[in-house]
Amino acid sequence: MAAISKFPWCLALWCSVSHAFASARSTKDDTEPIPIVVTTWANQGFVAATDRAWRHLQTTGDRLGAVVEGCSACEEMQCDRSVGYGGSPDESGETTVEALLMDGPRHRMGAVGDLRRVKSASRVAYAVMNYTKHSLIVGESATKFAIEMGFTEESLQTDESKKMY
Amino acid sequence: TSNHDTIGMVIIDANADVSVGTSTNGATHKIPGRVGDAPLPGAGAYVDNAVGGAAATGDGDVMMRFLPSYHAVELMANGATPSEATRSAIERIKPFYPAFTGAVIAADKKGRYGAACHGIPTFSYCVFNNHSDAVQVITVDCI
Repeated sequence: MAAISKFPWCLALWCSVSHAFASARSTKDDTEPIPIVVTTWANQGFVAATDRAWRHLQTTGDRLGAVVEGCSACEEMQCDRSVGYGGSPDESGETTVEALLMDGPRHRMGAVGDLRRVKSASRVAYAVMNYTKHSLIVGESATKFAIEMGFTEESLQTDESKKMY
Repeated sequence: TSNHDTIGMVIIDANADVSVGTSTNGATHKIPGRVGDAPLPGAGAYVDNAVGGAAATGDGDVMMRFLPSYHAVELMANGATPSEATRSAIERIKPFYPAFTGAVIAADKKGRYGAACHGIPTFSYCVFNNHSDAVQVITVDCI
């Protein structure tokens, strides 16, 4: 199957299903059904994250929760090592994370930048949206906020990210 | 893989309400304290509930200077399709930073979607709607 060879990582069984449309090479400017989930990139983790967001949306109807679930999935799977812990070490070797959420009906927002030693950037952004009047919290202060919200403080370094550094 | 990929997500529910989000660990070997485009509204992602949403990925240091997600949503508000809107948002950056790498995705309340990219040959993104029972991978040629 030509589509599979384009995705050499695509060995798991679910992949053969999920890439039934892998040859699509276009955009869709015609009306399409909603609900819809659209996600940047299409490597393995991003496909799984899209699937998790869709399932969450279908089972709960909670679109914002679905965004949080989808982005959190990539954080847990360390999508491309560019999302979540254990990737993109800075000049001091530390991994810092950031996330944004915006919700349309009331134009609400929550975000964290330069978040340190907390893995779940999207869930912390969700806490900023739900438990503060603010939009963006950064750095060590964001870590402190997250800990107060019950998140675990832990190193975001891995053997892999130490090697990259 | 490039070292500045980000997950950006646009979701439109059955009531045509819109949410967007991003998550990233930023650029490799960045100066400590650097914040990219991902957590910034209008840069990493943007929503206008009357219109739709957009999200961006790529060289955040460059892209945040152009608010590409805001730009794409605003163009859709003025009648552009998602692919026209994302293309215009990318085109706006090119004259200033011809070597930048980045992509923008967008979807509107009619369920239409599109993407545009620059600095790589093609860009692949994921779509899930009721037209299939699995994630659809869509690939666009970059401009």
